[in-house]
Amino acid sequence: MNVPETLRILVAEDHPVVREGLTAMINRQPDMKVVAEAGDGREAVEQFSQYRPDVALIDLRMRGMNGLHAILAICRRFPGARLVVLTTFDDNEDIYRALQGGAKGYVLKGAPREELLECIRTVSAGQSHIAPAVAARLAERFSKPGLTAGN
Amino acid sequence: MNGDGLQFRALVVEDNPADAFMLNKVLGRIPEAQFETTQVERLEDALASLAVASHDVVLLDLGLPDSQGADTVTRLRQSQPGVPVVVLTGLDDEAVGISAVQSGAQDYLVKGSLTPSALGRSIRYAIERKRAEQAVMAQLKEAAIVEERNRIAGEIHDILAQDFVGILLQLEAARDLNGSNPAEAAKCIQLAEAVARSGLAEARRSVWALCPPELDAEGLVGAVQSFLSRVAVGNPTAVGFSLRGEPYPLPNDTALGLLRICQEGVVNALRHAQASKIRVQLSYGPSGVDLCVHDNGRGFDPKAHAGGKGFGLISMRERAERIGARIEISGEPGQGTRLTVAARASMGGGEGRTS
Repeated sequence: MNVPETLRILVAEDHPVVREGLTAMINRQPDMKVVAEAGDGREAVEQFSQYRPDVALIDLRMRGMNGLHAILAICRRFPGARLVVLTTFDDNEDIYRALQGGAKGYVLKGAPREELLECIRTVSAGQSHIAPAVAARLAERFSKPGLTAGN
Repeated sequence: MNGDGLQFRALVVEDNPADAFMLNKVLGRIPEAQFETTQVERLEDALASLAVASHDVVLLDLGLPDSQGADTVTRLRQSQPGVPVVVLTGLDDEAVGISAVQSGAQDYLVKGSLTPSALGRSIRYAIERKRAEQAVMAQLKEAAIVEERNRIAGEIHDILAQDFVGILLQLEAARDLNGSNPAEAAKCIQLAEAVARSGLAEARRSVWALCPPELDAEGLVGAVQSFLSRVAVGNPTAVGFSLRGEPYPLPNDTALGLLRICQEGVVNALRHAQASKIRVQLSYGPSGVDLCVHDNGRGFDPKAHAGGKGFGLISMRERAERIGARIEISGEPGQGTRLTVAARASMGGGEGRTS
């Protein structure tokens, strides 16, 4: 019973080399294993439903059904889902929609892998992990009149 | 009480002294407006005046020694697109006035029935219409720039930045594995190299696609040939080109549209078709130009493009639509892919001319 549980991860990313790199990096961690991969949003929703991973990493911008729609769909169907948003640029408006929609973590692609791994562990424990720059902008956004965090 | 009103600088282009005299007289009586006029007798002189001094309006006779009819308006507009033009016609040629407006004049008046209030109103309307037209043009231009900027940002995002992320991940992995598994680490470094090389090729293609320098100097045929010889370097696929008919100048947008469709078609074939041969043909006929890109690869799989993955296809269709060309993509799995684009020839500015 004391054996640490292995975190089961889903990686949704449409660039094959990036997806492969993320998967290999996660699989080198003793406490994590990639159980499913997806190349677009539709696949992400399907794989999530099938594998019910502990944490899913989802690229926001993918061809076909994009990551934002996948995140919103997964959060609607599985309110307890633990999702981490990945983006290439941190000025993407959809980051905020994804976080408002229920994603728990956000990491910029190309961040040091320690940051991504820490984010996965934090989110798997049910807490939020959002890169400081984005967190500050998110707070500013919620404090503006007319914008509410609730919807 | 008798305020000067608005000040206008008018260029009167009129070779008949009596008509010019009458016109100046009517201008002098327009209420609440003052006109400073310059008078010339030939279109060439008008263009020269407009080039050195700004005028609020041009009052243009269409029977000049060096230019006749609506063509006069066209030439004036080509040279000075921002100046409002009011055309003055004789009693019996109102049809000429209408065709002058169709050619870009803001209004026309019949010489015999000029009154100060009609002329004043016409000039003010002409200036306002021109201003509105310029504003719309500026908006269209702005929209085109924004669209192009988004396209470039998309290209950088989808290809270059992702490649960098891929390279980073492989290098990090190599660092991790260096002690424990050097062979695996070497593989990661090799993969990083391959991604860097393909990213560099993409960057070169993107930059070339944004501003193909050959199009100006060599026309469409030369630009297509230059492009093909570039992609052929270091590529195992045989890329051939053939020309049918006698090439003639095409409007700039048409030439650029065809060039980019050709480029995307060839790049798609290289990337996805696993073809050993790609043939590009340009056919110049009396009704227009046909572009054909044909490969002997694994063929077009409609399913592969159903999920929105066919970025290239969508943008080729958009480009074709923008230049009013018909585009067809046919092929079956295993039978190669054939892309044909039919652009109609139309009169207009020639390629290589700056506009």
